[in-house]
Amino acid sequence: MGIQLAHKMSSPRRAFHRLSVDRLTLWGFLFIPLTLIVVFFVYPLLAIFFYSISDMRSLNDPPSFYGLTNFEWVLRNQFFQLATRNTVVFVVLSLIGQTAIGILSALILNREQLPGKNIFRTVLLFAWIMPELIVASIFLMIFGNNISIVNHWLELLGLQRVGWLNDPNIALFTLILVNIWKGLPFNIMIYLTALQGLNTDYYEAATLDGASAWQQFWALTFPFLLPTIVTTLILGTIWTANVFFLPFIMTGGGPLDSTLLWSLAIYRTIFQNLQLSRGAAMSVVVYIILLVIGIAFYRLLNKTTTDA
Amino acid sequence: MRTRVVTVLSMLMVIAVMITGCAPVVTVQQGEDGAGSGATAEDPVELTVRAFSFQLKPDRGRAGDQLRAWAAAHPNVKLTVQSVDDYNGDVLATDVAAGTAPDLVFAEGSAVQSLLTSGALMDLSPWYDMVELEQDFLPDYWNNFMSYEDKLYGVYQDTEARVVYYRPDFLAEAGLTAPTNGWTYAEMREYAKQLTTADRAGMCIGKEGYIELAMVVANGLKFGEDFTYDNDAVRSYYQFLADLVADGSTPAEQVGLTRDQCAQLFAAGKAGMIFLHSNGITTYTSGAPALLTPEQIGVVSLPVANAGEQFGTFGGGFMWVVPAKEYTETQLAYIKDLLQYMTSKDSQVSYALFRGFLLARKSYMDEINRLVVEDPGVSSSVVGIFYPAWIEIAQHNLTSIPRNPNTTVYRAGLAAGLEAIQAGQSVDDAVQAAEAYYEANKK
Repeated sequence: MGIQLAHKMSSPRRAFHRLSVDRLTLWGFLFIPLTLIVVFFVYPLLAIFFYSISDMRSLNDPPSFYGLTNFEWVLRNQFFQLATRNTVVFVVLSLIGQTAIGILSALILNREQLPGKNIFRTVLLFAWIMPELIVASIFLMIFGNNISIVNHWLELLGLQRVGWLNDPNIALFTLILVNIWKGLPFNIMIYLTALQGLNTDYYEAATLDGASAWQQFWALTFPFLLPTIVTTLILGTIWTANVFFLPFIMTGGGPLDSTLLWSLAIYRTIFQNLQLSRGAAMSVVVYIILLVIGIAFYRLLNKTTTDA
Repeated sequence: MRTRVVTVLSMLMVIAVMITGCAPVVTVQQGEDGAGSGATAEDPVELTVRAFSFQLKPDRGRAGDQLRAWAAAHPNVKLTVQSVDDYNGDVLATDVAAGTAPDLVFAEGSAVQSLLTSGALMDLSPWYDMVELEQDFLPDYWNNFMSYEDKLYGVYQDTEARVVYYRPDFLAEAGLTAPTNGWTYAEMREYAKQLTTADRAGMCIGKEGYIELAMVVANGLKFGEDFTYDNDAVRSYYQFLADLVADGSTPAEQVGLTRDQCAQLFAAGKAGMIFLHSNGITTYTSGAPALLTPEQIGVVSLPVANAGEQFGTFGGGFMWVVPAKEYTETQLAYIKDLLQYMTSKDSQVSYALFRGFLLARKSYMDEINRLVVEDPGVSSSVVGIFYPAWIEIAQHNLTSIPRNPNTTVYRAGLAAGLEAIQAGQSVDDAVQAAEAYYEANKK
């Protein structure tokens, strides 16, 4: 009896000790990412909000409360409105291109019999990890005004040169083309991974029932991919809306501001026009817009997941 | 338990190494022979100098050699040299605000304007004879960049002039004689037309705020006081550009090109004339093989609207500044020594002749003027060949950038109007585009 009592008394203490060590370890591991999040996300976010309600031209100016005047300026600013229109077109067309071509490419790469499949996948990986800055520099040579590889080949074929980056009616679409190229590898890999989780028995049954490839796609593949599509669209929207190096290197926002996107408008306001607070207010407005879009997409994702 | 502790400690070490190991600095290697001067102190000290990347490259920058020579003469100083790109005013402003600024900084003059008036730079007047300096430096640089409220906040290293470069070989083909300083818009327009061929533009304009500014100030604009665009000064400049476009001398392909891109076309023989800063051409005359030989380059002033008007240029330039922060007495002694070494006559003349920059200090220019005549090595070099022409044009330096928060925006507005002209729009459209830009972005 005494021995049993002694045994019962030591167990809770041991359990408490074990729980404390586990909790300490857990928080120890969490401490690093939490610190990084606070330092590199929370603090800059709070700083930007603070600058946006101040009246500062640069970091050297003393902060002074300015209310919502900067936000009024942003919403009435014609260049921000132009940047918004350009960014919406840029994002929508980029995502349509990346999604459509991404799914098609994934379907092709998912075929068992496709020769050189592994080579394609390796090449995709190299294209995906190429930094945006390098992509922009390369495509500047391909489409640019000085060195234009595409125009050189057009001339050799007896065709007229095209102002890919200096015709205000074309420049934005050239950037969209490049952005689609840049984002394709990621989309292809995501959809390819999703497709590999699809049970092929369904397709065999559909084939036996006489369904065409197109019918199989809409009835089987697309509903299955829908949650993946929505997730990829969420990420794609945020990433594409924040693209900076592509327009900065290739066009600088021109010609005639036809490729002025949010990122360049903010850069121009803060670093070229030396108006820190106005630029910060612009950043906050963009952040709120993307937050609303993100929440809307997230609800759509929940709905598609539930329906599936 | 032990495994968990080891894992956590390992992760912390990895993160610490990642955070501390990422600073893009270059530590100057000591041990080379070279000149050095002045004070030494016994205590070891660390100094950080920030300079432009083009100054530090072995084949194109003399400043790197000079810093190495100074470091070799001061073995108890650990000199760290940071390399940054041009127009680093925002980087410097951020560092000053964060308290992480280097000890001596080479910066573009207009970029430090806001710092100069906000107490972020150290007063250097105790280190110099202010009376002598004021008389020796070109007035615009003294008044607008270096001094403020009777204090000295920077020492100018060099400047440059805005000029027109032309291809004498193409002029000869077209049967044209070399233009002369003070030529008019009409003359330049005619030259551009004559130089235009099927595969060559007569003129490449290039988007560059200083050029537009120089042209309209020469036309009579009171820069810094007049922030309008609908005036004769701006309109006559835009009309000149519109005429070039209408003549086909500047094709639509040039829309959005920068001055450096135009210079590339010029070097490739695809443009007969360009606007450029004076020493910008040395990029294309150096290297093996060089893209351009001196015989393929002619230099002349920016044109004027009407015959007999005074042509002008617009000097940019770079200066040494010392951010205001806590320094030890020893550090201050070395910073002073290094600053005076880098701005000494020998250093600046050597740097200017190597890089093709002009000097804003009159007594130093006398030495260069002597060398380009008497020293065969200098007079036969590209810089020596063109230096007299640059100096002639630089003597007509127009007013520099006054301290007004909207001068940068005004300049950018001029460039917005220029782009409209390049795209084939009318002068009225260009003026409206410039006004719209200014109204939308002014403070």
